[in-house]
Amino acid sequence: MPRLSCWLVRCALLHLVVGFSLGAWMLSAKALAFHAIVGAWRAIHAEILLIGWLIQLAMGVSYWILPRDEQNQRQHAWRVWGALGTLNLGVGWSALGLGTQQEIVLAMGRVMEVAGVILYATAVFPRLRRASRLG
Amino acid sequence: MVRMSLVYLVLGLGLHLLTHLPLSFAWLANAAPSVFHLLVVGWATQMIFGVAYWMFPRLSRSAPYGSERASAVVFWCLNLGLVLRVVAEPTVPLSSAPIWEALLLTSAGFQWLASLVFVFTIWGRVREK
Repeated sequence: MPRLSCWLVRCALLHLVVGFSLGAWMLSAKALAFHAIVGAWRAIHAEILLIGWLIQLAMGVSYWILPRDEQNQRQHAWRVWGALGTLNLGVGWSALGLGTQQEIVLAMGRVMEVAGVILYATAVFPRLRRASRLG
Repeated sequence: MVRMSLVYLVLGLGLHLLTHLPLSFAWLANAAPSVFHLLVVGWATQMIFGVAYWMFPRLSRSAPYGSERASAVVFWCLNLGLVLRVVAEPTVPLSSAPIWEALLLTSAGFQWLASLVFVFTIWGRVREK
């Protein structure tokens, strides 16, 4: 597994633990009838698990298993490192924005998440094009 | 895990269908979170867990998939937790019996434990090769 995949998958696993912990807390709140305070946590729980866990894991695994092109991977590695940083910062900022209900913070987080996936997609796309050309 | 995830896919979509039929069961009216979690935890997450155990780099020759006991803990905790949740969550608002709240708490604990043990067992297999 390439180093970048390791980092993406490890970050995804950390998001899984945080997301499941939040989910378990919210479910306990429902059982103990103090779920009125759950409110914004539900959206944070979804953000962490959908983007931090599922999307990031898919990015990490696909970077590992898609057709390889060593030259391309060396050339575009900085983009994937950038994707790792911006996506994780984006999830953090979005969670902060959802928690504090600050629209501007939430918007900044979402912009970082989109930037992260664009960086990732532009790094991986040439590998697919080359593979389809080679048949 | 992959087999169970397929079962949850069918159950999740089946329950989803039932919640949209004109049936007058109060339980079904409360079942939306259960449907959602059957699909995202039972189907998607469990499928990921199963595929990760299979395809991530092997740990060693003697124990390529890591501890089988830990994997069994993940499997049972995730599935028991999810089944308890699906049964108890829509029932809690309908019943004053404390057993349902206790089952919901247990379900939260089981699912949380499953995530911790999964990450603990798979972490060592996320490595450069």
